[in-house]
Order: sequence, then structure tokens, then C-alpha cells
Amino acid sequence: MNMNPDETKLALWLDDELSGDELVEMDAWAANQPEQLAAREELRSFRNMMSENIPADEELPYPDFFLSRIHQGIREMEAGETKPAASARSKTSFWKSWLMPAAACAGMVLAFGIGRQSSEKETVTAINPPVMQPVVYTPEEGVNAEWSSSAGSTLIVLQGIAAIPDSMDFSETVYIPTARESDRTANREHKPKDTIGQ
Amino acid sequence: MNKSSGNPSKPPQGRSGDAAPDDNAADPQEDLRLVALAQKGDMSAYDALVTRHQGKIYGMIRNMVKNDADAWDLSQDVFIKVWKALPKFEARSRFSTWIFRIAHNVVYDWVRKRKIESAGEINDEIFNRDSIDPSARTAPSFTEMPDAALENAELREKIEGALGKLSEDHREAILLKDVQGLSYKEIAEVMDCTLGTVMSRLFYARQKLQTLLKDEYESR
Repeated sequence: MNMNPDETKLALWLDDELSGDELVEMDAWAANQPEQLAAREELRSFRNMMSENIPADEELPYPDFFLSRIHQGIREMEAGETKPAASARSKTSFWKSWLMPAAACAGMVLAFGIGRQSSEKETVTAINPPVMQPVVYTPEEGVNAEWSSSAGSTLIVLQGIAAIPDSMDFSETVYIPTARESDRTANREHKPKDTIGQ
Repeated sequence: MNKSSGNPSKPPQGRSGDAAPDDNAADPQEDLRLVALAQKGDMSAYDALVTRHQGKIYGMIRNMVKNDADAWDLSQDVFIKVWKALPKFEARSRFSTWIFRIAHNVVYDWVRKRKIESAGEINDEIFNRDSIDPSARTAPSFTEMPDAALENAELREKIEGALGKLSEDHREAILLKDVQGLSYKEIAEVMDCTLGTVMSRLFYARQKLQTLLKDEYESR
């Protein structure tokens, strides 16, 4: 090979990406190019240093939980895709562009007014838990919680929490309860407040 | 995880034995076999694909975002998006290259959002080892350890630190080439750019990395 190779072929040769006739051709050319041979060796050394010290494949923490979260994500994604949205979107464009901001402003003013009235009367209103809230692991009784704050950090001490059983399926912690299950939680026997904060 | 639960929307169709991962995790043909099963709704085949590729994707993303927890979450996003896009996979490229392409999009979206959200906040990357007051009570003390494993760990830390000083484009190019072993053509596909751009990014990334790691590099 008498002519110098183009930049692409030279880069591929330096990175050991050529094969077959192209490699033979380039090797023949490089035989009289000591600086190119040295550059290839330097690049090989660099690649070795990188591959020896930075693993291509790393052990993923909590692989089982990782899989269950992927399944959960797929379920949520597919559930979201089944909701009709595209057809309604065009019909509501006028509503969205003009009427909805005005309605939102009116709602904020109304909520502000109601909020002021309720705080003045100091009334406690029972609010039903929203149906779409995920179930979160929470200790319900016999737990003493204390907290302190200093130097910009907050320390929370919880005493009396039972160990979480090994059998607990953490994918259930993002389970969406039905309306009936939410009601059952609301109807639980009232526990005295003084079990917390003593 | 109970694999018998299968696809949330499609019942598993493949036999359970079909999807068992083999020893050769890098075999592209095995990937294609599992992809074909997963495209028919076989969730156990998809689990096997995830298991085969999760280490590479997690490793790549961890080196890109420099945070284990974010890398774990982003890897999860990648495999959810892979599932969604699986019907479009036509095996024109290797499955592993195709996943890296999706990982590239997920990471760049995340970086873009993070830059917008963190505008005006303190950049914690400025708190590097050099900026720690050596007389501080909690400053970690440095000890020379002749043990080879520790030397390797230290070198890895230095390389990761140097990688962190590269731009995202340069870092990704070098990780895909020198760590993951992709070809120039595959990198161009993953990063959605020309072969010339890949060559240019690799050239400048390597040059900068060699300068940053001059001492380690020359002692070899």
C-alpha cells in the first residue's frame, strides 16, 4: 500500500477494528510507520487500563426487587395506556386553553376563603383517605417516637416497632387499595393518641 | 419474584424452560431467541433478558450519573422502556446495542431535567477531596497500602474521578468503546451521531483522560 489511508480507516486500524483484507492492507502500510505502530500500542495499553479497572458488568443491588419494580412499572405503564385520552384531548382544547385557567383561579380563591373560615372556627374535619394513595408500611400502635433537632439535622427515634418479616413482599407497598379496603382502614378501632410522643 | 405472574396484559405463551438463561450471557443469538419469546408476551423470557443485561446497563449508567441509587432507578426505567419498545425491535443491530441506545436516551433526559431543576442550587461536585480542609476533625486520613487490591481500587477511583471531569458526550463515548467494547459504528448508533463525531469525541476524551491520569498511565 503506497498511499496513506484515510482518517476513518486509520482510526479503525488504531482501535483494532479492522479485519480481513483491510487489516492486511493496513498492516502492510504500517510496517514502515513506526510512529503509527507506537500509537496503536499506546492505545491498546490505554484500553487495557480502562477495561481492567472499570468493570463493564456490575453487580446490581437487590436484583429480585429490581425485577419486581420493572414488572410494577410495566403494569402501571400499560394501565395508563388503556385510558382513553387522545379523542378527548381535541374536544377539550378550548376548555383547556381558556376556561380551565379561569376555573382554577376561581377554585384557588374559593379554597383560600374556605381555609380561612375553617381555621378561624378551629373545627376538625374528617378527611377520607384518597383511594389512589399507595399503601405504605406504617406502625400503628405501641410505638414511641421522639425527635430532636440540632446542628441542622433531625434525629427521629422510634421504639417498639416489630421487625419486618422476611416474608413481606415489598411490591405490595405500592399496591393500590380498593375503595372498600380504604373504608375498612378508616373504620378501625380508635387508638389513644398518647401512645406516640411519650 | 414470582415469574408465573407473567405479563400483566398478556398471558405467558412460552414454556417456562424455554426462557432459562444460559451460561453464555453475551451470546447475541440467545438474546434474539429470548426477544422473540418476550415479543409474544413471555414475561419469563423478558426476565431472563433483564438478568442478562442489567449488570452492563447498571454499570454504564452508574459511570454516567456517578450515583448508585440514581443508576438503579434509571436502569429500571430503561428496562420498562425496553419492554414498551420491544415490538419495534427488528434485530437490525445487536440487542445489547439497542438497549444501550435506550439507556442513552434515559440518561440524557435525566441529565437535562436535573440541570433545569438544579439551576441556582449548590453544585455538590465542587466538594471534592482537594477542597477538604486537611485539619478538619472528620477529614479522612490517607494511608499508604501496598496491597494490590487496594491499589486497584484506588486507581479505579482515580479513573472514575477523571471520567467525571469529562463532558457527558466524551464520557459516554469512552465508556462505550473502552469499557463496554462497542465498535465505532455501534457507538454512532447508540449516541445517534456520525462515525466522524464518534472518532472526534473519542480522540478528545482519551487525550483529556490521559492528561488527567498522566502519573498512573506513565507508570504502567
